[in-house]
This record gives sequence, structure tokens and C-alpha cells, in this order.
Amino acid sequence: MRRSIGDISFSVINYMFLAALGMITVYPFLNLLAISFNDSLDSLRGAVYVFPNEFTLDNYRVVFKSDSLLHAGILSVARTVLGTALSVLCTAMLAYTLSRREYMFRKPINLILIVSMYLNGGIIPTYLLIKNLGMTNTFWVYIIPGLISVFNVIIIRSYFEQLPEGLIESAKVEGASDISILFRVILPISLPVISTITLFVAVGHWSSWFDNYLYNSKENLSVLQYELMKILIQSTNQVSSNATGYVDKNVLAQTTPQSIRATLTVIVTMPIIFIYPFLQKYFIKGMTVGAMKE
Amino acid sequence: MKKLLAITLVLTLSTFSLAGCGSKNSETTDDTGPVKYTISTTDPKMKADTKIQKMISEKTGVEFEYMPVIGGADQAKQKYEIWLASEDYPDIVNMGVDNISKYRDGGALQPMEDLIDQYGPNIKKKFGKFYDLLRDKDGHIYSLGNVNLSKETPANVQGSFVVQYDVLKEAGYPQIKTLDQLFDVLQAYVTKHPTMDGKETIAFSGAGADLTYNNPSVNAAGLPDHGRFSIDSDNNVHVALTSDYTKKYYGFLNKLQNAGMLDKEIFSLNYETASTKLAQGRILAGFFPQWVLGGPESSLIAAGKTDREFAKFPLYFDENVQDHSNTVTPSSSGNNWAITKNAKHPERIIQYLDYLFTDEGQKLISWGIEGQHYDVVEGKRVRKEEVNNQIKGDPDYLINEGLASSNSMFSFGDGAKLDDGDYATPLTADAIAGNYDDATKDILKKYNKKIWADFLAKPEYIPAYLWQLNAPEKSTAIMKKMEQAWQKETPKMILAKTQGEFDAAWNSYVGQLDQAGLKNLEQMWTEKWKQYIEVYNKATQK
Repeated sequence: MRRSIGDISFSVINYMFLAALGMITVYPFLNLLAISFNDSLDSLRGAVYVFPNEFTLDNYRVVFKSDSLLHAGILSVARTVLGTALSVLCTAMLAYTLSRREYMFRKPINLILIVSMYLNGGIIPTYLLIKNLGMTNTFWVYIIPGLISVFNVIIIRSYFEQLPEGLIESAKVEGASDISILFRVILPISLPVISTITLFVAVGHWSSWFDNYLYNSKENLSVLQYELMKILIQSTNQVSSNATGYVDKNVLAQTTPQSIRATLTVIVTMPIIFIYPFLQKYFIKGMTVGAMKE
Repeated sequence: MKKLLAITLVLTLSTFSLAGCGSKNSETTDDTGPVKYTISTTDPKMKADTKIQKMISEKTGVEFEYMPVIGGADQAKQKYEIWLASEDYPDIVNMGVDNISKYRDGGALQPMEDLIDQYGPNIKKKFGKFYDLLRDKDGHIYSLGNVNLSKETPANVQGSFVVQYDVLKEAGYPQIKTLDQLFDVLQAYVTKHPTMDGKETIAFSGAGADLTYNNPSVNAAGLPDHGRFSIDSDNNVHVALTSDYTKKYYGFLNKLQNAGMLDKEIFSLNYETASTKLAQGRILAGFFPQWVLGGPESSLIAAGKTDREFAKFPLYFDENVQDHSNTVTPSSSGNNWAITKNAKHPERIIQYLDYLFTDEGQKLISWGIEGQHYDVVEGKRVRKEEVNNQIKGDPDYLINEGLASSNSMFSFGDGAKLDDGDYATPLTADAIAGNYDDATKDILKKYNKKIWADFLAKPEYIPAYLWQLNAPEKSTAIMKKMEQAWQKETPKMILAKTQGEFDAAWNSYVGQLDQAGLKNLEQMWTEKWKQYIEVYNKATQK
């Protein structure tokens, strides 16, 4: 097959354009990676781009010095895995119920859910509620209050609603219960939307620290993000105490807040980056499934 | 509720266990039995079980458990509000005056004055004539901060106009007093060295709007730092942004601009981007306080570019300016301790604080333990060399030892002296000078000074800084509006090509600020300030 000059030049320009686009997207992260491995005082001078100028592990050493980090990391993984699994399960069950036209309270419950997206009690009443439910200073405060997100329910519900009605009807004819219809018929063909929501929820759990800050003051319930936040604040505090002269210039030489920030970003992003490729195939599948609709 | 129960339990248990070995009916009167209080802190690394804290606990029986409140000011405020609403606050809250007044209004605080009368003789003694300033309008004392007993300039204070060492060297170490002298020196240097490491030399720069336009103009006029305001001798508050000296300073920036010496990015620089340029050594001079300069200077030292470090002078518009900018206030703390309703036996907290207000307590919180952290050499306290080295090697050392803790805020101030005639804190001129690198020592020798603080004027006592008072209710909104006009119009003046253009821009700028409610704002603050002065005079002239 011969290709015309137009085809070739189109490909060349296309690939160049895409490569440039890729570079633009990847660069900020590469830059952070370089800064995190670069001597912090050198970073302060600027001129760090894709590779570190003066390689050092000091930034990581400072971050990992905190002994509570391992415990917090385990808790973070636990809340992410458990929280995501439960949350996706509950969201899918609710979404399935609401997607069934024969369900009597479909309209009022939809309305309640949507109203709750726009109106909420505010932070203090929420705190009082959680406290009166006895959930402060427990692990479950990370999981239960955020179990259902209306936004996710609506996304899954819309997906369920456009599945062919015949699938469910024929399953019913075969004598399947609603539970087995959901788990054996609906969910297997809804993997694209489920994996999307899984990623949303997992990232949310992984990067959340504010619930920890509000509800749990015990150190043995700290999650990773909260501990990292503390390290960041600590390094910023150090700069201001440096200004008072109690700490002299040489102390700061270990790290700067900018370098700590870059290091933390890298540490926090890594797990997500590793998980993403495994979920990505479903995203692509989701797109192709969409393309074949009549 | 559970926590309250737990605290009560701990308290009763501890009193019981003590009652076992002591007299029988001592429920509240036991003075040294162990008690544990929860206390809030904004520093997540604070430790309650340090060597020094244990020493103080041995003397007072009081122990602490820190409850961290982290995040920015907004997040901290949220946490405080939630605590207040749910009554989950710790026994002691350590926070800013605005938050404390919220707790007071919410009825969460226990007044301290009766307890201080009974248990706090040293607190009263040290506050002296300023004691009544602690009182709220209703006569109660709701919170306690430090008292500043320093009569000299703390050794770490320094001027904020900075000039690179190399510039001074080439000019033959001249005495620079005025902005025009600085201009000449800079111009000579830039003409000779238009580029540095292949990049353009920047004669003068700044970091952020306030440090570029406002603070330097107030400083060059020799006025105390009341933020964006100044106060005249009749206690009238004026907005600094439209004052004559601000116009003069804009004129100086305009002159730099027309000579091509002003940083081209000056309007968009922030602390971080300015730090980068400072660390590259490309900026010759500017207005940079120590907290901006610290990082870049250590970077310069690490790179061996010690001739690019900065000399810190005060500078004025002309030789006739009288410098009143070096000021001392009765209290330097922005954060105070307040005792909440959750605290049992509040008198124990007062007793604890009273101990901190003794010379023995002061030595412990600032100097540490004799023989471990400091020695007494010829009657003077000197921090041990190994302690200095530890501080350099380990940023957490001060916290881990207990030399930096919630107690630190009750220090009498750097430069203050204890009754034995020696300094209350290790931050002395000798200690500061000992930390300078050789290049800095050389420069200072040329000027016959020991530390940068020596360049400053004599400290003057003022009742308070304006920004230490609670802002009047509607002032923030007006200031926001003025700020917009300020940030939009100021570049026009600085970029003006002719004097006529400059004047026209200035007039339109002043007009816009007037329209935003400048007079109203001044009036509100004047009222507030005069109220404070009245209280101040009443309290101190008794």
C-alpha cells in the first residue's frame, strides 16, 4: 500500500503534535521528580528541569524520618481498599434500585439525593452528628460517612438505565432475583463505569486528610496524607522559626518547603500511577462499548 | 463527652492515689500531684515528654498532651469553631486573639484574674504596670501571653533594605544612608557588570505587593510598622498607601525603572520566585526581610557565593529622616493561652504559668538544663558548643529536647535580662555573631559593627502595633476594595515615562482610593486606636 505525501506529512505532523502534547503533560511531573531528588538549596536557585543537578536522597530521608509513617501508610491502604470496595458496592446497589422504573419511591428518593448535592448542614452540624453517632476517634469515620456519593450514584444509574431492558426481563423470566440480576447480569457488563467510579473513589480515599484532621485526634488513627501534611507544615514552620534566628542558616540547609512539597507529591502520586494502567483498559473498553450503541 | 469522662477519671484517680500517701481530704488543695492537661498546638511535631518538660513537670506536677491543629489559618479556624460548638476543646487553647474572643463570647473560657491574684504572684510582678492591659472590657482576664521585658533591640533583628556584599566592596564600603546614595552605588555597579553568569543583573527588586510598595516606604520614612497605616502624634490613624512618603518611594522606584535598573518582573514576583532570583545572586539590592532572605542566603553560602550575600541596613529618603521604626511593644505574642471550661483545677495551670514567669522557669524554657544545654562561664550563661552543633545538624533537636515548646512563647523576650543581670534567652549578640560566616564578619568589620542589629536606631516603646488590635468590622471589605485599586494603579506610576505622567497617575490613584472609602477606614481605625490608647493609659498610669 503506497501512501501519498499528504498522508505521510499528516502522520508526521500528527505524531509531532501528539508528542509535544505528551511532553507538556508529563513535564510538570518529571520536574517535580527531579526536584525531589535534587539538593534543596540547589533547587532554590531554579534551573532544575527534567534531571536533578545535584542528586540527593536527603528530601526523602527527611520525609521518611517520621516513625509514624509506616503505620499511617498501612491505615491509608486499608481505608482505600476497604472504603473503595464498600463504597462502590453500596453505590452500585443504590444506583440499580433507582434505575428500575417499577421502583415505587424512585422519584422522591432521587429528589432527596439531588437536593443533598446542593444543600448540606455545614461543617459544624456534620461534626456534631458524627460525634453523636460515636464515630469520632474510630477508623470507621473514614469509611461510613462517605459511603454514598450522589454524584457517583447518578453516573452509575445513568449507565444502568441505558442498558437494554430485555437483559433484565429475560433474567427475570429465568427466575433470577434482583440481587443476582445485579451481580450476575448488570455488573459484569458495566465494568467500564464501575472501574471509573472505583478510581474516583479510590483517589478520593487515598488523598483525603481532612476527615482525619476533624474527627480523629489520636495519633494511632492517622492516615498517610495527614502525617505528610504535618511534615509539610513542619518544614514551613521551620522557615519562619529560622527567621526569628533561633535556628541558623545551616539548619535550613537540609531541606526547603519547596523540595519537601515536591517529594511529598511524588510519594503520594506513585501508587495512583501504578494502579492507573490496570484500570485503563476498562476506560478504553468503555469508550468502544459506547461507540457500538445503536 | 467520653474524653471529659476520661479526664475526670484520670484526675480523680490521681488525686486518690495521692490521697493514699498524703493527707486524706486533699481533693483540690494538693499543689504538686501530677495532673495532665490537653493543650492545642499549631506545630504538629511538638513533644510533651521532653527532658525539659519533665523537669518543669517535676516542679509543678503539671503534664501536657498536645492536640495538633494543623493546616492554614482557615483550617485551624474551622477546627477551633468545631471544638467550640461541640465543647470538645482541650483544657488549654493556645491561639490568636480573634479566636480567643470567639471562645470568650461562646462562654468556653474560665476567667483567670482571681486565680492569678491567688496563685500567680510572679505573673503579676513581671507584668507590672502592664498587668491591667490583660483585662477584657468586662474586667476579666481571659488569656495570657508573654510580657516583653526587653529594653534593647534583640540581636537577631536587622534592617530590611539589603545590598549585596560585592556591590559594597566595589564602591569601597561607603556609608549608605539614603535611597539616592543607594541608587548611585547600584548604578555604578550595573554599568560595570551589566550581566552576571550570562544573565541580566537586576539592580533592585521586591517580593509581593506589600514588600515592594508599602513596607519599604513606611520604613524609609522612619515610621513604626503599623502595616498599611501610620499613626500621628495625636493618635490619628492614616492610610499609608496615599501618603507623601509612599509617593516619594514610588518616585524612587520610577527613577530606578527609567534608569533600566528595576526588575522587569517586579509586578509579578512572589516570595518563591523572588527567592530563586536572590539565590542565583542576580539581585543586587531590595527590600527583603529576614524570612524571605534566609533560604536564599543559605543557598548562596552552600554554592560558595558568599560575596553575593546581603548587608542589611536601614535606609531613608534623606539624611533628615528621624528613625522611629525600631519599636518595642508590651507583648510580642500573637498567640495566647486561655483556660477552657473543660479544665479541672484551673489553679494548677496558673501555678504552672507562674513558675514559667520565675527566673528559674525562664532559664529552663529558653536556656535548658545547666550542664546539659548551657554552662555558666564567668557568671554568664553560654550555650554549649555541642548543643549549637546539634542544632545545626538536626532541625528537630530543639523540639526533641524541649527548647522549643508551647512554653517558649512565655519567654521574656530576646534581649531581656533576668534578675541575675544576664540574658533571658540564648539569642545574644555573641551567639548571633558566632553564627555568621567569614564574609559577613569581614563586611561588618569594615563598618565597625558586630551584628546587623547595631545598624538600627535606638528602640522606642509604643503601646502596640495597629495590627495587634482586632480589625474594625467593616474595615476588611474597604481594605479589599482599596487593595484592588492599589495593585492595579501602582504599576502605572512606576512605569511612568515623565513626571507629568507620574503625577497624573498618582492623582487618579488617590482619587480611586478615596472613592473606595479611605476616609471612612481611617476614621474606624482612629476610633479603635484611641479606645486602645485610653485603656492603655488608664492601665499603665495607675
